[in-house]
Amino acid sequence: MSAAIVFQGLTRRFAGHTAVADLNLELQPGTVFGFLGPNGSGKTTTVRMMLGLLRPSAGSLRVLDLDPIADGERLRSQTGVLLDQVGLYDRLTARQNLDLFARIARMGPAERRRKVEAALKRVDLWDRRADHVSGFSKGMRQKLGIARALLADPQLLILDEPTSGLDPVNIKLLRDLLTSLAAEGGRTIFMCTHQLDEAQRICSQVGIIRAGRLVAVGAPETLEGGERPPVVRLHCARPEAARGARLPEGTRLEGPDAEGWLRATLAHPEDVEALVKALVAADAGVQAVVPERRSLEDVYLSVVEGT
Amino acid sequence: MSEDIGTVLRKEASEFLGNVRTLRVFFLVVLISGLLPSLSAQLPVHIPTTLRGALSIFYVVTAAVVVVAQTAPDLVIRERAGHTLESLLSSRLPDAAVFAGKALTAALMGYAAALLTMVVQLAGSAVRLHTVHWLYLASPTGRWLALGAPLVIAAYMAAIGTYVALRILDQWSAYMITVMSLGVITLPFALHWISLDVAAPWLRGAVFVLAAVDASLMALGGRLFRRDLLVLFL
Repeated sequence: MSAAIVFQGLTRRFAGHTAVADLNLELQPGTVFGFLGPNGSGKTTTVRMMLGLLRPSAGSLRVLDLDPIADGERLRSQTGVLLDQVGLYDRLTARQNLDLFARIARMGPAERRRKVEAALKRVDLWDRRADHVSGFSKGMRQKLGIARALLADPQLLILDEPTSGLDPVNIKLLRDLLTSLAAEGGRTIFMCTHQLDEAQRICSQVGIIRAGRLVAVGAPETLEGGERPPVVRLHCARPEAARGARLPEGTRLEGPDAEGWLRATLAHPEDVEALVKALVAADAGVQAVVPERRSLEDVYLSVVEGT
Repeated sequence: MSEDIGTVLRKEASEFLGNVRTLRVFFLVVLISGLLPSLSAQLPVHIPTTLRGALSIFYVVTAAVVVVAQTAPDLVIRERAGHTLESLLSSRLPDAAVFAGKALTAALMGYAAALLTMVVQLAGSAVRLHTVHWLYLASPTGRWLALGAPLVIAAYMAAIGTYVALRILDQWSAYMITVMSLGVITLPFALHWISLDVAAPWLRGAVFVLAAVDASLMALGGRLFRRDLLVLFL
């Protein structure tokens, strides 16, 4: 099976400014990809190139094994999109908005009725189907935008900041919806977001873009980026005895915390063995040694801000 | 393609009919253009019947021109302001269907304004039976001009206005260029290259020529407009 999304040296320059530089990425079908990065880092430009709305300055990209410029119409017919500005027709009702895009997708009258109803029910807007969108809250607009993106049952879903500007209740509603979409499997989801916990919870892979460059890619739980010394957490029966141990050079020991865990920052990853030996020699009663994983937020901050 | 153009036309028509401000301008233009001939008939000035007929056709064309000059750029600029243009362009609609759907909507709205203006002119005549400004409709040439000229001029301006609005996305410039496009076809008259008292058959021929120009402009616009070259994204 060919990859759902392939970027090869993807670059987009504007007058005197490179928005996206040498992006390389390959995503398999069914991947839920979180595209993380600060404002102006090149996420939206990348999305526009994926949709054939912008031509790359250099490099190439294939989406669903299609060229977004040459095969734009075919590609867009298999893609559901929610852009950072939802872009709904205010003077039309919720149902008319979806009906329009169902017509654009060339559905017949019966299929249109069925799919519009299903999409509105899925996002809990069926009761508001006859209301004009101008009276909708931001959360309702986002939900209607997602319903629109799902209407034609697309193979690829591109979501640009789906939860931006929403209150916590609507963030949760939308996150639950995205989680259920991700859990369905089969559909590739490419999601630009600032919400790191959202990405960690929903995405099977994440990539971090900074100043147009993809600086880290991987599964959220194993993503590494930036420089940071290795850290292990240790649980000891006699943590006070650990204080007197002859620790490997450069090792810093902190704690214990309220739950009795010590935290050791090592100079080198291979120092773990020497650390454990030293604690055993000091009769600290080592019960557990756990490598401390960096949260996605830690990785993001270290990559983006260099902290 | 025709199905896609129909979809865009349908959408634009729903939007147009749901926009109170645009409808207000539309009906105001129709009323003014429709009632002016009746009102001017009350002036104590002798105007020959043929000239009254020509003036009435002029008002009909003016109604179409004003509505198209307003509608063609507005259909694009309003979408850009509401961020719906990007949604539309992210859909599978072909570029040519987006352009043609919008241009045809503007042209049809202009033509609808012209036809309604004629209805108002007739209604105005019914109220003031002694007026004769509607008599142009009694002659085949007058009917041909009154029904043909607004359509070809509306389509001409709609094609140019829509293309310019899609390319430059600046409201004021789009309005100005759309109005100035009318100047291009009136220039030969203004410079007296063509006499204003040209015969009706000549004008009929001009309508045919302009119809051919319209078809070329529509085809050219459909070919030249490409979403990946829009300044919207630059």
